[in-house]
Amino acid sequence: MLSGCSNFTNKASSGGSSGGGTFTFTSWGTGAEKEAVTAVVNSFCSSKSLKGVSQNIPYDSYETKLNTLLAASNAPDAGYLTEAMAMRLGEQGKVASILGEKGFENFLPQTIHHWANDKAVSQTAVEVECLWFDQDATEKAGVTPPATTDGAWNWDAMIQAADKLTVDDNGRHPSESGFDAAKTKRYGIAGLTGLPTLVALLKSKGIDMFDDAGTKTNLDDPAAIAVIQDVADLIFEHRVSPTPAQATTYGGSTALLLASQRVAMAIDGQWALLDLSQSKLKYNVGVLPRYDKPLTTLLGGANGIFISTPYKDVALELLVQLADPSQVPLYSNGLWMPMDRKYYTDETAMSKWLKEGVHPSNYKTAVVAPTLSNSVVMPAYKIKNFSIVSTTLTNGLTPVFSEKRSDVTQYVTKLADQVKQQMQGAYPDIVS
Amino acid sequence: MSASATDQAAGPKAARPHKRRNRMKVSQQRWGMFFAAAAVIGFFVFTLLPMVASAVIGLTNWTIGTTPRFIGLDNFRAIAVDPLFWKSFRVTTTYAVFAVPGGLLVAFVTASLLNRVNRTRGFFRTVYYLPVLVPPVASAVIWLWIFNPDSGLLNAVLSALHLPTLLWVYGESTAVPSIALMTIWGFGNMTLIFLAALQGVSRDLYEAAECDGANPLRRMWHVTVPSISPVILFNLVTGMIAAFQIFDAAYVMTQGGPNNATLFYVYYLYRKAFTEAQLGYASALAWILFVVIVLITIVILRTSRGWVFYEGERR
Repeated sequence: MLSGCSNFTNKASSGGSSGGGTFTFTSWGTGAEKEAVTAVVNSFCSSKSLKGVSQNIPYDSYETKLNTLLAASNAPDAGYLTEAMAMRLGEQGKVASILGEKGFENFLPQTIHHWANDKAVSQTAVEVECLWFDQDATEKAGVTPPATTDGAWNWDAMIQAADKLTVDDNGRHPSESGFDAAKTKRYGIAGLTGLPTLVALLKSKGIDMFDDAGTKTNLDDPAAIAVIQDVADLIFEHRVSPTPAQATTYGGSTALLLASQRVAMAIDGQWALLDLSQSKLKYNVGVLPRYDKPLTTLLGGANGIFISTPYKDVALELLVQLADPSQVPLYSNGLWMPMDRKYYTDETAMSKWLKEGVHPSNYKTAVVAPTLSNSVVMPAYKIKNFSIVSTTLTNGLTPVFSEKRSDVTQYVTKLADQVKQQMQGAYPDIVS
Repeated sequence: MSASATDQAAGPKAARPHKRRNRMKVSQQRWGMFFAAAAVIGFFVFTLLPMVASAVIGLTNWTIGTTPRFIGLDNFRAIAVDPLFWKSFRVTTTYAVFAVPGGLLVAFVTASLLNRVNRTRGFFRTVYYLPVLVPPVASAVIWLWIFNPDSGLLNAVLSALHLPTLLWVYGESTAVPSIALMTIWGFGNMTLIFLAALQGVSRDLYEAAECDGANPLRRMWHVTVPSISPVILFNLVTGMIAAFQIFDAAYVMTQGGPNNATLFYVYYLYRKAFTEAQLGYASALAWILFVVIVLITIVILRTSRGWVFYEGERR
């Protein structure tokens, strides 16, 4: 896994020395991600005559830990940042801008996020929402999830396919009489209730989740409420999708969810590929269902360089190296997608991160192509106070997807009003 | 004279043990202060100093990364019109109303039952105390499974009894009572304290009541409850303080959801401090909680004069 790093170390060695200090990089992530990031930081720092300290902090307590370090004026030199934190710290002048710096010129514009017109951070990597599926289950049911955006299922087609894949203990489908929902053996589809998926579905209908000024959510738009109602109906009306609580029981990750054979298709981020590739499951990937325009959501945390570091140039170089698939194994093992445009357009460059046995046959058309041409950026960077706004939205929508309600319109309207009170404006970031 | 001579002769001898006692007293005082110093210094450094700092920070506008700016009582004014503050206050109070009396009742009943058994008392005492030893996060994860609407133990029992199932922590209206139920599960601590108190109730009082014709319920109400009322007061005060400081369940199980139904006060405070990085606002919230807890404690202690009885107390 770490073989790529030796090459990278040699290159870095030629870059010269920065002399004997300590360079701290903080990150989250477990398993392969933790190992790879630590190895890259250590080898990079030793090539710069620095002592590398890679601090791994669990994602759930990452903001807490980093905020505490900042309050104690003990910020690391560089590290991962959540979207909202990156923008807040950028605005406060605590994080350095990467605009105009060498090595970032060809990053996809969707991966550069501006807190001011002339100041920005870059993402750690690219992630998009994908439709993962159990190929044995789909083939057996005669369902072929679309591999290109041109063939993306519209809502009804998706329901039909999910219905074919959903079966109870007696082998009946939800559309057949006698189907026993209490004894559902396998659901057709899961994972539509998360905010990233909803962002794509709403935008597919031409609706932005928030207004451009960041003053309100458009969830109370009748067309948006219809989308939320559609997703709820998948669970309670068409009975082809489990509730989020049920899905959690079947498996804590998409790989486990599909491997449990309780769900045939699941929408999740591209990062799910790392676990899927290490499972025994025969998996493949398709594009998200659409209303009008087929879309996926592009997302990902940020990399930040703290202004207090005496090693800004070293940190910039490290971030560029972390974005290079030939140096970091996390691209070829399925966790990350690159940020440089050439890795999506140039076949030779693509071969550096697309790996047979990890990236399935539909990957290029269902994931790589839509990332460039059919993606909407998660408004996590654009909207100020996003971590709180998204928590309120996620928590607020849970009851809609947990039990059948007859008051979805009133409920969502009330929720939108609650969210509006928490909104604090927008950054001049690119959203679409 | 002779007496005086004797006194004089005995003087230096008598002064020696006195001196030794004095030296020992001084030495004991020094050692006592030395050992107490750890706790006192700990209190000053880790409790009093942060409290003073928090009081000062509460008067500033301080978002982590910026320089604190003195704003007087503006944080408190903002809190007064913050709907999430009121929501978190309501949620926490509701939780306390369910969890504290529920916990007291279950612990008291269990302790009364344990007080009646002799041979197996140790076994049951251990069994009931075990949940207290389970780390809060582990217990929260276990209860998430128990509460699962689809495959959880509780709904399986309800289904088996042909009763309607519930959403438990996943439902807006059932989330807080569910967490209260989970907290009550850890009633072992209270039970042990009640049990110790019950074992100290004089048999004479029961015998006298029995002679007066009191049935078991009356004996419980007129003998047991008054006799252990100081312990009830202790459990009530500590339970109430703990209830207003509940945090782990919201952090691990619900993240304040669904729809802020479990936005407990301390979780909201934590979110303000470490997610939104608003240290000034969060410190003001902390001080409001401190005052609320002090007020509740004072109210309980004041009202306790009418229902708590101490042995040998004159009225």
